[in-house]
Amino acid sequence: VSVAAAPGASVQASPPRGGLIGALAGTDHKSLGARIVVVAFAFFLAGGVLAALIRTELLTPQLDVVSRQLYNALFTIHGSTMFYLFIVPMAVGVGVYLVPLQIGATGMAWGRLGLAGFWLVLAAGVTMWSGFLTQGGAAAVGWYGFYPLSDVPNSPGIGTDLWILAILMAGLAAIALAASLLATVVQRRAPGMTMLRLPPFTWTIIVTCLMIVTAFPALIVAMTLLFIQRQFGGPYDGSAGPITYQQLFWFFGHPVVYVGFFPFLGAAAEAVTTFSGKRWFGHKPFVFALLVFAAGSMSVWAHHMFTTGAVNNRYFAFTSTLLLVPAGVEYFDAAATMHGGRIRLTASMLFALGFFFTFLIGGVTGVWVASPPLDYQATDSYFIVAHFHYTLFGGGVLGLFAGIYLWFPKVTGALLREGLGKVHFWLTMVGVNLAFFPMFFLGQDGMPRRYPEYTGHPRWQTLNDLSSAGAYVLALSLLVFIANVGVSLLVRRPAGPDPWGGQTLEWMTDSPPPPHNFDMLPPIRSHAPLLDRRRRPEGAA
Amino acid sequence: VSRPWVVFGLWGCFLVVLAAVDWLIFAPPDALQYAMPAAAAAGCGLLALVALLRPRAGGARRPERVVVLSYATVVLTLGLAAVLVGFEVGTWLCLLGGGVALGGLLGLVREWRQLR
Repeated sequence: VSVAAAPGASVQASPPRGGLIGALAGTDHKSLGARIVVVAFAFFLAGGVLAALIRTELLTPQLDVVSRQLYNALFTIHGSTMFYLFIVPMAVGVGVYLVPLQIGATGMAWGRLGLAGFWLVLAAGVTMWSGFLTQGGAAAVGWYGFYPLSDVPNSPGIGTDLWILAILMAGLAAIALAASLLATVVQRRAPGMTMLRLPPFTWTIIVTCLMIVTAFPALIVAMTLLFIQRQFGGPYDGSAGPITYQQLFWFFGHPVVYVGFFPFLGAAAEAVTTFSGKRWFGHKPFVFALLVFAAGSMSVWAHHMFTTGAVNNRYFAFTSTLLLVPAGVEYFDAAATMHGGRIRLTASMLFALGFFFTFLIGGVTGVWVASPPLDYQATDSYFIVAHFHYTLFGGGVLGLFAGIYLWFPKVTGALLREGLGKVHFWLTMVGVNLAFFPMFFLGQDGMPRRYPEYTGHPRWQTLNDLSSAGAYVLALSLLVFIANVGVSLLVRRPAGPDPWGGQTLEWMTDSPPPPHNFDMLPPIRSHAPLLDRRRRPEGAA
Repeated sequence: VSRPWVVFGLWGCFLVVLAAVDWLIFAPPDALQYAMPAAAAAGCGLLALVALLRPRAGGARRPERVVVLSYATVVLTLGLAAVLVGFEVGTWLCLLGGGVALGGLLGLVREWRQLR
């Protein structure tokens, strides 16, 4: 064991090691967070390759690229990778890196638990993807693996079992990382950093972690019972079994959408506030709205089950529609922050604006499917695919890129190229809308999701081709981003501690931050301590 | 919401209110429908209790030794992952993973003793 401690209070048994050793066993929140982000991004690219294969298959009405079984496996592992291996680890990984910095801490609490979380994510990814190497192929049951489709008679083969075990590991990883982050916020805040002085991003991580530690246990239970069912039978036997599985699964399955949304709302909020030159408007109402939003999103899960007839549709329609109120508060806060500000349209700010625009489409169509009569029409159609991709890509990926362009200089010490960043942004916006907007029309016209062929409906081909073209544009946009990262790291433009005029504590320290994070901290009087410092320097009357 | 335990408790209360509205007004057909939010609220209550009992370290901290490298954690985690996969692959992997996990556990004990 190698130990070190906080500045001024530390006992360092041996210096922290970087390189391979640090990558294997280091618990420093910065290297741990960076590792989680890189691994999650790698899974995002892998899941994206599967999406490209799916879209290539759908270019023509016939089945001509993959078999039906492989197509089922492709969309299953695509969805599973994006949820369990990308968006959730990415959400907490960004938090692991930034939360200790934003709260003025020297490190993360329960670092070993966080380290275990990282390795569980890796193990989950290897386990899930190894299904492709098995005789029956990878799991082909959809990312939610409904019972009895996921039972042995309907889905024989080891691939489904590996998928279940992988989800168990990924779920445990998320809980471990979320618990570490919550403990960090509880125990490691700097003097003066009260809860209401925490920045917007840290607050979004808090509610995300609350949702993870309270909702993900339902996933663990659902998957454990499913594994037992497949091995021995029992837990889901009987007519109530499929509904019980769905209740357990969706109790996790809806909050996970918000787990993939809130941290990136926080990232977009930090980008908006930084590049508007103003503090975040209505911080206290924002915090309250976040808590209400998160609690509400724990109470809407069965809108995924409207058509089963086994849940109380009126209640879930009511709670699902109620979510508009806190969402509206957040949009209002963002608009009011920009109002009257000195807006700089950097790549980060553009992605933040794109985030709010794109998520709005996902949100508005969410109101649509929150209404049971309309949901009956749209369920299991491409309308739903369009809706949740607008929600997750708009609410997740665009916000993530707003954060990456904002914090990349802090993490690496080098600025990303703004020109390439803007090319990346516009390609992404074109790609997202070209890929997902036609799906609304396909869904309205009755095209079911998960079908690789549509030979009886030749008029769907144009819309599918547009959608596939959008997917390729998205792939191109990612190549531009990767090129941007490569160029920026190879030909470095030093960022300095605070290249943007940031307002939160992470901009107080070097880029990248030293092992102990801070040499000194300013007085903390609000959620924007560096803005306070610029406007009211220490010692000023 | 000035303290973490208040935040956790408040959030748990929101969940209780929503579960109660469901139970009392909408009369759900399935007990899971209100039992799950109620269980989540209970989990929040537990978190609030932990946060209340283990508050933030004060301004004048004692020298604190923290782990910066922990091979034992990696070994334990991978051992447990192997045990899980072993349930599908075979008993041999369960046993192997169990042995590795035990080694990791002993390593954690060693780390803990070194930190004291």
